[in-house]
Amino acid sequence: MIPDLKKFAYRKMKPYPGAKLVVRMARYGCTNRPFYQIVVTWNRYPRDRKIKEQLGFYDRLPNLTGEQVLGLNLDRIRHHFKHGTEFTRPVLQLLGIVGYFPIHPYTLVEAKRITRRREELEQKLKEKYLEEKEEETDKIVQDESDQSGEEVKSESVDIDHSPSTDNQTKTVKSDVTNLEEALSESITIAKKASVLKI
Amino acid sequence: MSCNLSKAAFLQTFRKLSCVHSQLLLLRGVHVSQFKPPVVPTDIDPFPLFMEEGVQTILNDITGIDLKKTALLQPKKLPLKPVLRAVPDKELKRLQADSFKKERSKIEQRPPFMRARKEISRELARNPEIAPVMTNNLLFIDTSAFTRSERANKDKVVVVRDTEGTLRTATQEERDRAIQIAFPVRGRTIFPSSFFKPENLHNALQRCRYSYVLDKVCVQYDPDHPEFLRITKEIYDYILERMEFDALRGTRHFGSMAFYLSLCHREYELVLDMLERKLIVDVMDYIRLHRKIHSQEGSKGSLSKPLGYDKKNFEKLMGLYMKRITGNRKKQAEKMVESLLEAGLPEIIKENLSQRELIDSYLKLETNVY
Repeated sequence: MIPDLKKFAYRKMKPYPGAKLVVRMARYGCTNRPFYQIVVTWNRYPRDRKIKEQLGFYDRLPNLTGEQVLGLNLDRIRHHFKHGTEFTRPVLQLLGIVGYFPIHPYTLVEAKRITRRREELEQKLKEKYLEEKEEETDKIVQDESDQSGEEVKSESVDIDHSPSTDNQTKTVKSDVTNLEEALSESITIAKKASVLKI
Repeated sequence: MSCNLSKAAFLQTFRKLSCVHSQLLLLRGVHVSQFKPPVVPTDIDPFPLFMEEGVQTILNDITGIDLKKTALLQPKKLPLKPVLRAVPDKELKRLQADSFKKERSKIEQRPPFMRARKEISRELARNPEIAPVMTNNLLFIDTSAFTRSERANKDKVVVVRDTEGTLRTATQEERDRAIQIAFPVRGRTIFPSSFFKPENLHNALQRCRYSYVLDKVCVQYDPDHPEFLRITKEIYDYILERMEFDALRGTRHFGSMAFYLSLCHREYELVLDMLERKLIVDVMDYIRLHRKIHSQEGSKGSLSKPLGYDKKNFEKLMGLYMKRITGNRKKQAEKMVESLLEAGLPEIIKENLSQRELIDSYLKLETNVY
């Protein structure tokens, strides 16, 4: 008796030799407005065309309520996973974020990268701020030394130098308090302006 | 006059109004501050009561079927050409039976009276190490219901991953939005339109478009949504104030309104209205329903059997009912009953019963379509 293998026949039918099924994201949408369909295709086919089955969608840009929306047909994903289709890294990352799979190690790598970038940004801004403050203090010192220099010629030396030293100490103390405030402002501005996920 | 209708609009609404009480209110144009809005009791669970067979049949009988009104109420963009046909009597009966059955099936889709739904959201996992990656919340919905045969909205999985990295089941609002994105219902918008804002609602109600507004509300919200309850309560209170129950009679909202009124102990106005229009069989059914809802057994108690609709039982029921009413209302009700008795109760009852039998006969006729 010939066994009834028709139900496995669809799996054997390959459009080209060495074809593998793959679950990946196909980018639709418009310019500067991506929208991804999560899709089962053969691995050598063009990214958006000749789809075998659509499993879901992913909208990367936040909507009116500030959410990114993802929809997946978990039954069919389970079916394809059972039958050994390849899942690309972004799809696996999404599934991990959602909780259906364990969290992908690459998301942790990304998280570390982002925190590192944030810290670097903060450091840069700190340095810049300190430099600016130094310049300002240098300027003040120069101005006052010019003024005191003029006055020295007219009056005695001791009286004129004391106010300048007091001002210097005051500026150093206020530096420390103002640094944090000014830094936080500039950091937020930099975050908003940056293209990276910071 | 303090109402903001133009002259033509005023005349239009005046003609549409079904009872003298509301006409007087419109003429006066004064906001009636004596009206106390009804309060829904919290100890009775209304949904299982509503869904009982006996209750549903009573509500069906009370609404009746009014084909003219539904033909007027249909919102059609283009007027259809009238189709004229010459048809033998049997065929005519069958066609009428088809329309009756269609109407009855529409009326049976009445929005149930339920309590507001509860907020369900619980944490599933905590992963703060992912937090830097999540710039926005990720709203996830499982669309596997497309491949399964049937799945109620409550079973659908909607899950949110926060910006802090916590995975939690979504709040009810997020669920509604996600389900509408993945499984859209025709006519429903994801963000509620300005139609349901109080000013615009009031505008529509002033022009007596009660069932139109109620249909839209039913499309937009589920019956246990708190917004649905608020808006329907507003509309029912508006109708109660003006005693305009006839506007909903024949539509699918009459039953839920009658149920709501008897729950809040405000069924008196409806009973009066029915007595005025000489619908005595309806009165008897409605009083039976009222007694059932407020019996101490609640949903476990069974509906009293429909005794024959005749003068004796009517007087009995009215006597039982009037024990609860006091003062001015009692005098009013007694006057009504006396006038009816003088006018000839048995004939009126016969008329009502014959109407009901007509409807039943049409519904029982075998047709090909329904």
